[in-house]
Amino acid sequence: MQEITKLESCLKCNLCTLACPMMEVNPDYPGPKKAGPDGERYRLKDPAFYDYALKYCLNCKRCEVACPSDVHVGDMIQLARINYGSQGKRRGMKGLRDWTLASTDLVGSLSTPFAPIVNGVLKTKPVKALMHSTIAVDKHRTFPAYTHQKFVKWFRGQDQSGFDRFVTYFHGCYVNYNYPELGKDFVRIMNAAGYGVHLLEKEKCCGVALMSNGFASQARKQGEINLASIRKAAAAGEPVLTTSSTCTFTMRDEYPHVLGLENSDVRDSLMLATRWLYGKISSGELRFKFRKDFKMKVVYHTSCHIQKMGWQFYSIELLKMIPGVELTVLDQNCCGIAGTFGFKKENYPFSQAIGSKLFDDILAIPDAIVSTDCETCKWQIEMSTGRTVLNPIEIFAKALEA
Amino acid sequence: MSVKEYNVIIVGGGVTGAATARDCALRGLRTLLVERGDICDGASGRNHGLLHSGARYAVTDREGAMECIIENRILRKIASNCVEQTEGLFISLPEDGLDYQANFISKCREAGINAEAMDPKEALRLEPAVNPSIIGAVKVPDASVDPFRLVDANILDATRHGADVLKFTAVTSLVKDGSRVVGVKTSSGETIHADMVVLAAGIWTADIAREAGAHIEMMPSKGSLIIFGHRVANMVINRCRKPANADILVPGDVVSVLGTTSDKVPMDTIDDMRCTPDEADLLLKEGIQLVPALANTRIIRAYAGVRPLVVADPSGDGRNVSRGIVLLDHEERDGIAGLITITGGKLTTARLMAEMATDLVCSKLGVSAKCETAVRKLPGSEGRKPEYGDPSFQKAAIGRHGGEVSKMNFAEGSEVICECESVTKAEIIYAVENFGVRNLPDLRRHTRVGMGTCQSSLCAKKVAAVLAEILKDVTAEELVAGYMNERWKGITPVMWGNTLREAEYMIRANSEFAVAGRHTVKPEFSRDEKLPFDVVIIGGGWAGCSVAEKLSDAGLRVCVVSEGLSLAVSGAEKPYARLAALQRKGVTVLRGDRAVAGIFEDGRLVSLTTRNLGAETPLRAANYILASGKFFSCGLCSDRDHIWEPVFGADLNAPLVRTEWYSPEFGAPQPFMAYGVLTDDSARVMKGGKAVANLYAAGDIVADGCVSLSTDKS
Ligand SMILES: Cc1cc2nc3c(=O)[nH]c(=O)nc-3n(C[C@H](O)[C@H](O)[C@H](O)COP(=O)(O)OP(=O)(O)OC[C@H]3O[C@@H](n4cnc5c(N)ncnc54)[C@H](O)[C@@H]3O)c2cc1C
Ligand code: SF4
Ligand code: SF4
Repeated sequence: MQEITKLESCLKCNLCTLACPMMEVNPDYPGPKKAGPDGERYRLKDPAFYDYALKYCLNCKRCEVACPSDVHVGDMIQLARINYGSQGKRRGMKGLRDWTLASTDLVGSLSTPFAPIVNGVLKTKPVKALMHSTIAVDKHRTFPAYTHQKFVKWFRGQDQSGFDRFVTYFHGCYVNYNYPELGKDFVRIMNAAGYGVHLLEKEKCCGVALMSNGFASQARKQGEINLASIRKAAAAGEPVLTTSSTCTFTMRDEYPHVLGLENSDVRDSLMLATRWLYGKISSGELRFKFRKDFKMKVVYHTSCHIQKMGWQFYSIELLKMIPGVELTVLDQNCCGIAGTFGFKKENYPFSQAIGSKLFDDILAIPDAIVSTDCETCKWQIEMSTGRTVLNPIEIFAKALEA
Repeated sequence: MSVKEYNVIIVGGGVTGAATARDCALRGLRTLLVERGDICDGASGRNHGLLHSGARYAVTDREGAMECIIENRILRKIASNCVEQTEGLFISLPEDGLDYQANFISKCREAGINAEAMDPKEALRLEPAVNPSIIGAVKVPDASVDPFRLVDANILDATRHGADVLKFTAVTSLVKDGSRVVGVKTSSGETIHADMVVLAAGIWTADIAREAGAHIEMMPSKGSLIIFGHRVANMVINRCRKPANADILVPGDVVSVLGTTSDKVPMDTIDDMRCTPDEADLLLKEGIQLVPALANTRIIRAYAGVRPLVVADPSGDGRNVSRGIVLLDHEERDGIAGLITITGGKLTTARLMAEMATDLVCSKLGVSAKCETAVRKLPGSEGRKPEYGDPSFQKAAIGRHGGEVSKMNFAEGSEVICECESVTKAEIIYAVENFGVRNLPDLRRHTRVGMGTCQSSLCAKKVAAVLAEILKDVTAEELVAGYMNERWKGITPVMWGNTLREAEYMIRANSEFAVAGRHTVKPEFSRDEKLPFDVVIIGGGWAGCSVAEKLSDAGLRVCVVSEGLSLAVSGAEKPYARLAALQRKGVTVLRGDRAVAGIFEDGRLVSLTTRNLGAETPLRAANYILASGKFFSCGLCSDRDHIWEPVFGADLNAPLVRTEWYSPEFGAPQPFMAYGVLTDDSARVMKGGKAVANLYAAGDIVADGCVSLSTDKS
């Protein structure tokens, strides 16, 4: 365990503390150093040293990015929450709420056939007030709309048989239930590049929301299913591409570090589509034709999890390659939503306070489309700024010649 | 001169003296304890903290073993906040065989120690940290005892029952009336009278007794130990063989302590004991046999103590050393009335030693009160333990002081001053009020200030400011000065790897350190439009950011790879201000990424692999700058006997002999702070004796100085 978290390497310099967005807005949060390495020494002696304030951690990993010693501060906090935290202690409506928020695919698959009804119901004021007071989902929040036709259903109608090279696509819950457009754009780009698309034999929600809500064993089960399918795709020589930075990060890093799932054999085959595209384009293997009349003013927001992977590099470079894109890279600030964190009534004010810097930066640049690789950042930014948010893959697809 | 009269004066404020003072006070004697330094300044503050079950002595010393197990059971009851009921394992490794074990178990049982043989699998389940190659294990009732807390609890009980304590006062001589000792003379010039004087001055006892005409021959036996940064195992782990070096690992509070060595040392060295680098190496080599994870566990400190062993028969050849309790009635032995010596023994048996000494005092004074120390709980042992719901900033204090926390005013002192050990201002005030703390080392012994991973790098100044504010008659600067040297003493023998990194941090944060020989070099940076970058800079600290700003202003396409924040930029209002500004200028900033390797062709660096971008998409540029700093920022790495530059394996000016890396004085110039990569006159990095054509070095990574790079006008 220490070897994974690198507790040994912590020099107590507090640089992580300076970088923690929660520290800035919440005096009850002990901060990454105290919650992580300092607390861990005491928890190793006696689990009673577990501090409930650890629930405030956004799992944004900005502490890890700031740490000069490569200490896995955020992992340490996640592991403490799983091992010593509130599991089983959560009762009543909040328990129901956490389960609802955590089960992105369960709730998604229950809702999709009834999308218009669910969407309507989730938006009405009385229902929101009820959710606010009973299951403690903040009334300011709108659940992402559920789609009529799931992505997988649409995909079944797409003939991919004419290709001799394939990539496998991990679409994630968001593309499947809420935003098939992104998935469709992905397929379009791949097909334009001469690659057919396969889906995983079995795809489950990556489990990020389950983990952050304390349902680690369920997340582990889903992870095992995903890894088994990813292994099959990798064995067939296909990279497994994604369009969500959080799913990617979860399956590459949280699986081994937090859930203890071994993935080293397939970790390298799993990547964001932007990385794959950058590699192919920069090596000259792929060339795309872009529209001559394409014009778009874009501000790029680095999501926390893509920052942790360091892969904003690829998304940014890709956007720079598109003629007609006028790109500004924003300062790397957290949007505050942190997956399901910001949906909870008790967290809403923290969430918005953290995001305010980013929102101001966005609003300071008029008429720009916001681009980011994370779907929860998208909800948060759209809700808080009213701006349109697109994944770099969508912008890339829009710029392609028809 | 006002002369106070006491029934008994106890010389020495270690565990023996403190326990004796408690016993005397509980029996109604007017008691004074005189200690030349702080409480716990001798062997009692420099031992292993093992509450022996007696198992270690069962084979060779049945009587000692029986004393241990009886006292072990008593202390678990009366000192619950000082003792952790960890239990212990005696493990047998393949090379030990199992012959010793069989005899060991039966000898333990004869001494009344419950020794339970276990099969290796069961033992590994109970304590997963032990060496998995064990062939057998025995569970025994060993436990961990915090010596500082145990002595403090005894002192508290003594003073709360009327005893006086004089700290920082040495007994310089014994006052005699004929052949009778009637009091002591102290270093402050005072004469204090008493009916009886008890010498409990550990290894220093012989000097005081000699002066009064009694000859005690002592044999100082040095023991060295090393402290690991956290709990590696939750049980005491012993080797099941004839006792030898480094065969016990004790979980002590939140750290793990490995020891010990055992060496005869001359009497004139006992006031300056330190663990040597060789001893530290030996301990580690043996320790990883017990618990393999120790090989990768951070060592935070090494220290040494002296066992107060008494040569039982001074006329003999000195081999006949007693490890047991030595109670001397000098009236009977040497014809000196009014004087008793109590020494030898162990931390574990100190209560019993005190009982024996106090019984003798009482019989001399005709006092009939009975000993109650075995049944009365010590202060703090009321059973209060940290619980889930306790406020987080109080939990550590509850763990340390048990019920005594009710005397701490958290309402006004909830601020955490020492973060590693979570010591609040309230706890500091409590320590000053109850133990007469005068300086930072004192405060450390009575709280845990500075005992954690950072060894006070982070908190020394903060703690000093708080203590100075409470004491009023001393400044924070005065308090810090000697303290850092004391911390440094324990760090230097184990100064490699992360410990060396911490040492650099300690120097930067706590001394007037400045890198010597700053100068500026203006290389000519070539350009190549075919490559994505003109310059890739490794390191986003002071040097990396400065050169990135200049190069980007000069129109070059720049990329900065910056693992972590830099100490130098952390003082800024916003920690990422400088990197963010660079990014706004169009510089590509790879935050949290680390350069891991380079590919060289014809004396040039052609590409750079980073951890996050991987080998498939390496960074390519016309020029590269290494600005990765020293050890703290991982620009340089070290292990026990090497220092290297991790990205390129560049040539360095660092020697291979660890003892040359540091100076024993904290304030002196530290050689390791001048280590770095060798460069040619144009600041190009040397590798294998040749300069790499397009790789430059800037900032602290440069050997013997600090280089700034600037752009050439041309
Ligand atoms: C390396 C090591 C490991 C050990 N491990 C263990 C263990 O795990 N478990 C265990 O049970 N025991 C252990 N012991 C033994 C135990 O530490 C000692 O037996 C015990 O601490 C001795 O206590 P003491 O009070 O007799 O002596 P000390 O603690 O040495 O106290 C003597 C005190 O007398 C003071 N003094 C000296 N001269 C004067 C003077 N002139 N005037 C006033 N004061 C004076 C000194 O400053 C000192 O504070 C260990 C010992 C060593 C050295
Ligand atoms: S986790 Fe990293 S940044 Fe935080 S205190 Fe430790 S070494 Fe410093
Ligand atoms: S993961 Fe984010 S919120 Fe949690 S401690 Fe680290 S920086 Fe703070």
